[in-house]
Amino acid sequence: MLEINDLRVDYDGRTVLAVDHLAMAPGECVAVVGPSGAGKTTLLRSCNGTVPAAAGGVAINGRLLSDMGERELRRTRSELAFIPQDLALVPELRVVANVLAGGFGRGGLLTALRALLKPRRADTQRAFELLQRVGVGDKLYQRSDKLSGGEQQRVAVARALFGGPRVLLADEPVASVDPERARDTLALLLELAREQGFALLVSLHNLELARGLFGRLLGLRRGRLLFDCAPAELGDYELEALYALDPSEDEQRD
Amino acid sequence: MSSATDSRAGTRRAVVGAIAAAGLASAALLSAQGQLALPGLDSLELLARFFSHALRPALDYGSPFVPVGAPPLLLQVATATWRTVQLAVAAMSLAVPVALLLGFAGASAWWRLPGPGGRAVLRRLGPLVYAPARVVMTLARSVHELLWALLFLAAVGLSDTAAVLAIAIPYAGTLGKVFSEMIDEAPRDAAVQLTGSGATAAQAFSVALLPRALPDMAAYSFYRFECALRSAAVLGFFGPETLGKFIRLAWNESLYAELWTYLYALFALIAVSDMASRALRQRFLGETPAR
Repeated sequence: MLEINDLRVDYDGRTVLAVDHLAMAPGECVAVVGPSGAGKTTLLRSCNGTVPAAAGGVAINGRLLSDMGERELRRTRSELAFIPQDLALVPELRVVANVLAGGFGRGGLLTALRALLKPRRADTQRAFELLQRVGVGDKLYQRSDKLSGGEQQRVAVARALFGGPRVLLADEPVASVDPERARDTLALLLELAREQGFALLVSLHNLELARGLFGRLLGLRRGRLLFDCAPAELGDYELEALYALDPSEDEQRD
Repeated sequence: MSSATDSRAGTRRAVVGAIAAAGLASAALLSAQGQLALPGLDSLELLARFFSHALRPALDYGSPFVPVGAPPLLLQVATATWRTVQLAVAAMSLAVPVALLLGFAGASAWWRLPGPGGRAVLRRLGPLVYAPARVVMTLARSVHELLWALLFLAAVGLSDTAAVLAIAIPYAGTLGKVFSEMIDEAPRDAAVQLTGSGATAAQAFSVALLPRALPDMAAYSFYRFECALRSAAVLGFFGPETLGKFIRLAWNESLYAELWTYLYALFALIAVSDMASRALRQRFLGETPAR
């Protein structure tokens, strides 16, 4: 359902991502691993077209994102939920409004204003059920910035679910939580993916977590795919190559 | 790396140096015109007499020449204070809605946000709305309310309506400009996130940008209301029966005790409006007292 062919992304004239081929089946759960700066976020953002491709592209159900008109792109994006690393909740708003924002792709300005001022009862009910499902049902009417980091993350998950996604893209969802919580969060995402049938693409820099939980791993290093396989097929060679330090890297950062 | 830091420090030195030079130059210019000379004995005596009444404001008329039928002094003060509030409220209730319209039109966020949903139309339409809005705001606020008042005075005489307009016009311009900047400076991460999951620019603008600018916009409006109270008081010098009119009369008659009564009324008015604005913001915007 999601397919990448000959994708190239440039930033400031430098190629930061080059992926020849990558395909995800409906409901499939995949983790992208690699050191920071490898292009994991760029890969995820390419999948919903918020990072434009310099060449090639991403196709959803056989349609290239770059070929879509605004209407189609909007509809497609509403089925591609994205949870950024910083969550990007609106801190001043109540939790319920942030969750309802996940469904804006299917409505107009009026939908947005209603979510803000006086949500429909059915929408509120659904938001509450999703929040309940991720464990923060009691926070429905709290101001979002009054929540702890872990609770905010769960709100962001509920927001993603509210749109009824077919693919959920989560960028480093456990970057800022302790190891115990990290495992719980990932397990929750996997469980939800199975339960609701969406495909899951998660970027992680913690390889151990990824190996233990995901059936398919993508290794990304300096914008290129090093491997695409099951954790059992992963050899020492691949792992060493993924995290090896090489002298040219420091120069590049300057 | 170090050369960049050096050049930045160099720029900073140049800017600070230029500001200091400008300050020295203006001081030299002013003293050349004799403006910085010490006040004469007469004016010192006047000041002394004025301040000697600071702790003894009048509670009743001190002069024997009270017009027949004049209300008691304290009632007069209360009426003038109430008139000042009315004028300021009327001016702000005109200025804020106009400023909201101008501020939205003069912000670039609503047509520069990424994302689908009429984006192409907005991109083309944006500058056509944005530029005129900024010109109108600049024109409105570049003329001070006292100048507007003088213009109206010359044209139609300074009625209460004219006084309200004299305040509302420049205030709409200033409020609109600041509103537009607050909207444009609100963090855009949530708005960008929303457009990435299918929201239109209009949705992202109204849900992810406006609510973030709103507390600042409200705080600034309250501050401008305070300024409007002062302006309304001052416009009394030209006719309307606000605190300024009676301050001027008392000054002309050298009735310093009464003058202080009116000044304290103005002071109390500003203090009360400050407390009220803080209470309102806490109640409706959930701000913590620290802010």
